[in-house]
Amino acid sequence: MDRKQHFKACTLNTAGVLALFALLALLIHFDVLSRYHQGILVLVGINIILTVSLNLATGFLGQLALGHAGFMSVGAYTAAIFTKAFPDIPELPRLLIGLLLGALLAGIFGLIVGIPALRLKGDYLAIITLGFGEIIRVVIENISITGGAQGLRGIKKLSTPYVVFWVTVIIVALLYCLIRSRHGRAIMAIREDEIAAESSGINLTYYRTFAFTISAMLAGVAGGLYAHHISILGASNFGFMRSVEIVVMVVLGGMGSFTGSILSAATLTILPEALRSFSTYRMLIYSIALVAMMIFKPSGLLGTYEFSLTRVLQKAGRLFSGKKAQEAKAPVPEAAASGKEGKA
Amino acid sequence: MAAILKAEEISVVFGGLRAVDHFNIEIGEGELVGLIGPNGAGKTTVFNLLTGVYQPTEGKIFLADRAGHKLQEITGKKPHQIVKAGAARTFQNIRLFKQLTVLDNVKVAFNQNMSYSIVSALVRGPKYWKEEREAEEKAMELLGVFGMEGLRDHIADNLPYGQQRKLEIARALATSPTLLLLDEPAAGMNPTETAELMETISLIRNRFKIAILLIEHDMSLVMGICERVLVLDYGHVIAFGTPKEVTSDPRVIEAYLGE
Repeated sequence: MDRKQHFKACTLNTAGVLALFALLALLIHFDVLSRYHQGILVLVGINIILTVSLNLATGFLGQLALGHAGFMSVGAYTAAIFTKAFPDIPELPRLLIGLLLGALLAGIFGLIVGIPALRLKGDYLAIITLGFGEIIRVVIENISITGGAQGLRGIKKLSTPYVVFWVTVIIVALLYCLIRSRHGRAIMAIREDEIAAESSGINLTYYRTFAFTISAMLAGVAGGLYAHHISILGASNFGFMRSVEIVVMVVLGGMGSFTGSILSAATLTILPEALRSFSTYRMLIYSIALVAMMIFKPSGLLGTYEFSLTRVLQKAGRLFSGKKAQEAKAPVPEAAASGKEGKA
Repeated sequence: MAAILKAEEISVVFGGLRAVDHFNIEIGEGELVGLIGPNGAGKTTVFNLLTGVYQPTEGKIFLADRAGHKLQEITGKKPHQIVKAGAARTFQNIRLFKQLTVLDNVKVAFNQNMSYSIVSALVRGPKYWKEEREAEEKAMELLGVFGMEGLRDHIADNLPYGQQRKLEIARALATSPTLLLLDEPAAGMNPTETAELMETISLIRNRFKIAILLIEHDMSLVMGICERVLVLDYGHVIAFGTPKEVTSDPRVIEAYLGE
């Protein structure tokens, strides 16, 4: 893809995102979405960040990590402690600085865990990250700065749907750009074949650690948003089951597909809310869904497929101009308009 | 003729087994050398030593640097550092990035010659576009050498066997090596494909001006294109010379046929 095409696609995607945002703003403005619904949307955004970030480590790098909730908790507590300590800073910058600090600390933890752990493969890495998640949880329960077992209270609800929307969009866009670059190719090459990757001049340790650290950092951001959404943090929010839930979202959506991650994160957040009466059976249904997935479509719902607005528009345009061509010459602007509606 | 690769007395010991014993080799610029020997003689182990997959227990390996043909020691370096120094390889059992496209397979190998940063990738800066475009052009040129331009968007795993072999060679060439190590490039190929491969190998040597060391069991291929042949048996070099000299060497005959 050359630069001109890219510019066009970029404009198109920006337009798509803005349309989506306008829709969200309108729905909130006219009270179509209640506070409860908005809360669910915030959770959808947070889960999308968690899922795409874990997908980087698990789907693209190919390392099964079971400690994502641990990194999330590091980010959550860091951001929450910061915003509580500096109540004088205006709300938005306060939250953003908090998120940044949370990302930074989670990234440092990712680096510390990653450097030794990524020498191991498969199950071993899964066990190490699982252990890390549990250690973090126990530590949080036992030190005073995090409020100990009573939890951290009185965190201001700064995660509005708008903030979460933009943070999610930016993270997804950046990850997408990362994967479509030499660095992303190196990461995927490692997943495909480590020995061949190394023999093609890829520095395994560097790229493994890099992808794992980025993944941890983004989990930290999600944690920060989460803290400022639920306003009371307890270590039990970040247990092993939370990590598993994120893994389920990644696997269900497709390892190596951001589109899949977004869809499955949204579905698996909204569905349990819609089916409240079944909530006892949630983990049961997750397990069955996973087993079924492994049998019938091991690559996940979307495999490595990525949604492209440009492609959809081209198809829509072709369909449209094909029909119109019989009546008159193809109208371009109309085709573009119809595509935007499709995404919203 | 300046030496590209020089291995001095390298040995490797696995437990009680001396898989390669005092191995010496010197390959000149643009030379095509064959490495043969019975099964289990240690041929692939030699490749793994030369490319840094295994570390030699004793001995030293030198590789000429890209510009001045001055020999530099590469013993103890990691595989990706050795690739950067100029030695690329293929594998006995094909190792492609199966789920990536043909084009991406080759582009991965350009990674070490590209320098745009992560930030540049994230914001799609000018350097990103320049280097990506160059990489794509060069990759297409390489694929063109193997007549595979039309397959650029195919998933590597879906290619027929012969083309997977070619793609692996193209990927190795993309690291712009001075020495190419081919581990049984003709394995599993029929006679027509092997003949075609022979042509391709001499073509790439002349075109890219690189030295090639190849392991092969197909004697017609080895005798047809190699200038010198090295015979390995139980980790020892038992003969090194022109194909004619080697085939008439009594020790080689003994190693292959017994007394």
